[in-house]
Amino acid sequence: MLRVLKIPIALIFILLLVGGLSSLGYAKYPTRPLMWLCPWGPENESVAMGRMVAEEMSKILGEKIMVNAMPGGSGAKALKHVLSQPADGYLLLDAWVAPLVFVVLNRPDIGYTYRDFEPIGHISFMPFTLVVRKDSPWKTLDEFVKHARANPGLKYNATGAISVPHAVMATFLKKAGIRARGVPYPGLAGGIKDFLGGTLDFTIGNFWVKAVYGDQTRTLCVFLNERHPWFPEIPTAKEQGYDPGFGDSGMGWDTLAVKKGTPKPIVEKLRAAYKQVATSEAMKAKLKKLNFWLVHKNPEGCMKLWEDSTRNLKEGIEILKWEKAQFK
Amino acid sequence: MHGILSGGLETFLGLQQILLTGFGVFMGIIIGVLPGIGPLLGVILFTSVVIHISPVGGMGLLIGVYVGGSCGGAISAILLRIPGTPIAAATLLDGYPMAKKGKSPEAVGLAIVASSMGGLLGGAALVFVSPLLAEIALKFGPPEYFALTVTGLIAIAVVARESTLKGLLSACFGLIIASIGTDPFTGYDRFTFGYGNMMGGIRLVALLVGLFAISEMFIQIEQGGLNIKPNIKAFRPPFSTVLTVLRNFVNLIRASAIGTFIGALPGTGGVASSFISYAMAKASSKEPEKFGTGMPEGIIASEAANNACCGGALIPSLALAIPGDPITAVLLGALMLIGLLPGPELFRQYPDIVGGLFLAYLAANIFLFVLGLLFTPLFVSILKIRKNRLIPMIILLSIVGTFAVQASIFDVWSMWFFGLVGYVMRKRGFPLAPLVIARVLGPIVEPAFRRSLILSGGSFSIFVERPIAFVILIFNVILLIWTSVPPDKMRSARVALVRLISKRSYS
Repeated sequence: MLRVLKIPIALIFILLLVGGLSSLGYAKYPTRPLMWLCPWGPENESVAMGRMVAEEMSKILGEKIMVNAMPGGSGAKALKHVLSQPADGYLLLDAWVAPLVFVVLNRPDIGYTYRDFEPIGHISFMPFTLVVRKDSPWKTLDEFVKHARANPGLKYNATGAISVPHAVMATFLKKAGIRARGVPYPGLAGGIKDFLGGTLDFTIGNFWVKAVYGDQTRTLCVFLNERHPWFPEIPTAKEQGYDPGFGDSGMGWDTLAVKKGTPKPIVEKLRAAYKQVATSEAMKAKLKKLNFWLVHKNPEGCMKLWEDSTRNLKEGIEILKWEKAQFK
Repeated sequence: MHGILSGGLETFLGLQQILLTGFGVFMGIIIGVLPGIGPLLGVILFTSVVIHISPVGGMGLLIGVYVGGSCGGAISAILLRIPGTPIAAATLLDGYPMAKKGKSPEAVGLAIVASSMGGLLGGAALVFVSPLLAEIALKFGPPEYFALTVTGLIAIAVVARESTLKGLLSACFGLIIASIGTDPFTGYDRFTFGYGNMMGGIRLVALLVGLFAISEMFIQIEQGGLNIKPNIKAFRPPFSTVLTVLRNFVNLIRASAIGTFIGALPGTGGVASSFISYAMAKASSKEPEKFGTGMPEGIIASEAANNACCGGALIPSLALAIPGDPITAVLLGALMLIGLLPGPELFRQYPDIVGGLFLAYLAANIFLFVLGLLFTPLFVSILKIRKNRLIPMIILLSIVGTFAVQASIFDVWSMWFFGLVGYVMRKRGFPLAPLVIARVLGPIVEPAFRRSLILSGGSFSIFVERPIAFVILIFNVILLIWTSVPPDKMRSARVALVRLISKRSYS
């Protein structure tokens, strides 16, 4: 009996010894697989995006990175989960503007702020657009605004009830002197059917809508400071005199982050690995196929975006309340 | 529709997809054969696997388990007089007498052949009807969806085999569970008790595995007989059963049509379809007095209907995202797990995946035919597995499967909790199916209602002004009134109805 076990026992001892020595060295990171946590459901495109980026990063780090989707509470569940885990650099968070900034503004009792996280690098921007059906009478933003001012109560897909795109659209509408009804849906995709079917008059859109439903829809404007290189034919709301005024904060954006307190060498290693992936043209092209606009920012730039968004989007929460009170 | 099927060829014709579908059927038959573990449990146990596979491959696996499991129960019904699944209960009526006469190979062969042919006919209906239904449903707005989901909720509670009141209570409990988590309209928490893990609600897989798998294991342990090993000899069904089924093609087509139609109605499922089909076959037979003594027609009627029912049940599930029974509810849950939102939009956005699912369903029935006839000796010997080996295996699978979905230990604890809940509910005679359907429909019905009111500015008139929504709601009211008729009056009405139908089919 003992003889049979000799070799396995010896192997276990060797493994323990090697393991013990390497943990003394501390600088050895990572030594086991990492996890990339996405705050949305598995149906969300950002999970597919996470897989692509994680795969390239794992090649650099030398350990597998698993992508896990943890939806709930507009993404807040995932952020709370990260904060409940040790700050050892093994749990990466795809920190979207909604849970990191907007949920906190709406619910100060949520139990965290962006200051509890450490940025690794900026991932993507997703500009929002205003979209009408191809058969609608409005060819330009001006025609649309004129009609909507004269006919209060047009209905639109507001995506989430308390969401950044809804805040951007509601602010644009209010500043343009329009009173419309934002109808909440589970995300953009959830409301597209009712928009195309005629229940809704217009919708918040993005480049995904343009790519998938381009033949049935007309994009009247994009909420950006300048025209976007992918679609230079789409005018900005700003150049036509209707700026909601959020700047970069008024887009869907996400930043790769870890829990604050993660050891500095680990954070730096992750930042270097991420930068190498995010600045490669191949990755940019890959993400463009999923309609994600990859824009790399250094950690200071990320922090500034977090701070600016927290300041700028506060107004959006108030305007959402105002919009809700219009049609009681 | 042509586009859907040709697109489906591309997504389905791959080694992985085809093998997985075949494997699903194989496992499905085994699961169906084992008493107490039906296709529902099989699909639930395999759900956690699909997130790691391609969409069509993963769903092919589940559809295979669904199809195989719907047939496997017949084997134990015929040989042991214990239906492996309730849907095989009608098969027992003629299957067991046939086996007693020493014709068990023929009986099992008939069950497999009739199942696969009935399933194929149900699949044809699925391929033709569901794209049309999806096309119509594209015009449905929130009020229509609200009305439709209410129909689903009422129907499942009403058709529950136990009392209607308990069915409705069970559905209400499911709705309450569905409302746990963040309110989609305000961003505030509901019923989370300040517990971060509950912000995302109770995960469907944890709920299902607990309610069905764990509670079933409790009940099996309680029933005892953990060491019993039935004494059965393996055999191979004769190929001539194919000819017997084909000779009965009127019976086959009638049974498939009944199965498909009943499957497509929300709330009803395999059990109802096989019994109704059996009754119809008996009523239109030249020698009805011989039914129950080992008539092949009886087996064909029951088995063709309960497998055609799978195809029927998939129609509203895929086209409207409204499941017809708990199994399709789980299939929809799995579809969402792999990142696809079922409903009419699925047909427009991913016609190739819808086509792949259709082909997987059709292929599963062909696999059922081939694998079923080839491996009958193996499936028969599965009956010899003792419960004391089986139960620990299933509990282990349940835990691993539940954990694997989201790497969350909270889900495993929820699973155990709902295992206890399921056990108590079954002991007190509360049906579980309404709870599951309500858990799946809850997140559709509540937002649809609130969205309708936002659209109308808070006025209920929106449900009356839109004709389709109004008609469906009127239908719901009739359904509710119908169920409040006392059961004894109902029985006489039902007898009259059956008489009327059987008279018609004589003439």
